[in-house]
Amino acid sequence: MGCWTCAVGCKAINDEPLGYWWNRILTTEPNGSAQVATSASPAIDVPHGVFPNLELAYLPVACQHCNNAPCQKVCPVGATFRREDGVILIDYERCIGCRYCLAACPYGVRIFNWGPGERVPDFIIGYGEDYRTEGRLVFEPVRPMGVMEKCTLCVERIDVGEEPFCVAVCPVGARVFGDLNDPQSEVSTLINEEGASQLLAQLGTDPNIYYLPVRHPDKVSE
Amino acid sequence: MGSYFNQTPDEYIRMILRIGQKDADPTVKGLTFAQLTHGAPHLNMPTIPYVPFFDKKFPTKSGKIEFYVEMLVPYHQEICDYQEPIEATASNPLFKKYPLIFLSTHTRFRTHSQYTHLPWLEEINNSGQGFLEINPKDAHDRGIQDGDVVKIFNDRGILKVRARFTEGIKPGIVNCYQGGWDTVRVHQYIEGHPNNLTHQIANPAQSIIPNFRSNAAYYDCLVQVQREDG
Repeated sequence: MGCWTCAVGCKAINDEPLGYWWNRILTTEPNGSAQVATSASPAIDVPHGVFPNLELAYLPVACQHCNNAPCQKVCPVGATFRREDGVILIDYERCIGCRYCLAACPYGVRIFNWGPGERVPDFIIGYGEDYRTEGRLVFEPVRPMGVMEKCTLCVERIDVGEEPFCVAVCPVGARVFGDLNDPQSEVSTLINEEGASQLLAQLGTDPNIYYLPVRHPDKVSE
Repeated sequence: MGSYFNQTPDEYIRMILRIGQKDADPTVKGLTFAQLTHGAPHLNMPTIPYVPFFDKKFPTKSGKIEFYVEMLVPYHQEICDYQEPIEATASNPLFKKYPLIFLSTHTRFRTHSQYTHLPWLEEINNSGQGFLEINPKDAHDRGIQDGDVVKIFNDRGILKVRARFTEGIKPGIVNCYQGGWDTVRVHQYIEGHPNNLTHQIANPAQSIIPNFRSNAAYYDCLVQVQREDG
């Protein structure tokens, strides 16, 4: 419904600086997600069509956690890596800031720390601790200058059995988190029953983020 | 965070509800902290939730819900009926000079003028800058391109913001979100303010309704829009 709660929640839990959004909500056409690059509106809430025949849907976009991730392939130092469970992460101790991944990602979800970043409020409000997985530093409350950052699927939360924060804060249950390998899981069931799609599937990135079709697109007509 | 909130959540809850003290919050009076945090204690709450007019008593002359309101007869508004707007109607001679209806609707990114200047919400909401939603047809008739600075004006005042094309608004109507700030430090409109354009003529019938403060109809507003150079 385009409320941006997931984006603001993400910004809070990860202490993203001003101007940084790991998670953004595009305004698109209903079920036009496979062509997101061409169908996103120039500004939020601008519908598609000609008055009074209008269509509009909201598309939250963060890291797609691809099985065949271009960002991981181009990384010359192996800083971007894919965990066994499919989460794509950045090792801040290895990243050299070359930004190849920034150019390679077709979803535009990676952000580079050009400077120290201005945070409002100026104290830490989110997870607030360093987090390591497989011994690698994948989250710091304040990311150092010269590294890339992006959605971590809240590894620090999912590793202790909690949902990613965007899922937890969504006021209408539009986001579902679960195990795609388990055919009985809620996510697998929803994908199979409703026919979900991946963003820019034609690129062969094979994301682990699936979008359910808009079942009841709001059509406005006189 | 610790320098601002240096007690535990439990300590704050005890403090706010004054649990176990003589002047405890009515909902927890007579209950201890241990009772409240273990099991399912019965709070001192009414068992029937508050429902407006649950007692079916209405503060009207007849004591009933009134579809016909006798006290509004002098204003010819005793039953709900269509009334011509004071201003925003094609039959108004002013319509020739100011042929667009100006709305100043609410945005979901603030509550009136509250939360207007929060940096995160400003980032989502066009960097905090007000804009004019205009149908491309109305814009093209006036030589306006998407993103141009436009002047919205009538005899009462002006507002300058950038135009945002959207088919989401009907031709003949324009909209600029209300509640933005124009203060010494914060300027969310290039010049003027949506409230400079609206009239403040209240419906006289409202003045005799108990507990109902008079208000003007801010959607009842005619304007013209023109492109600003530079």
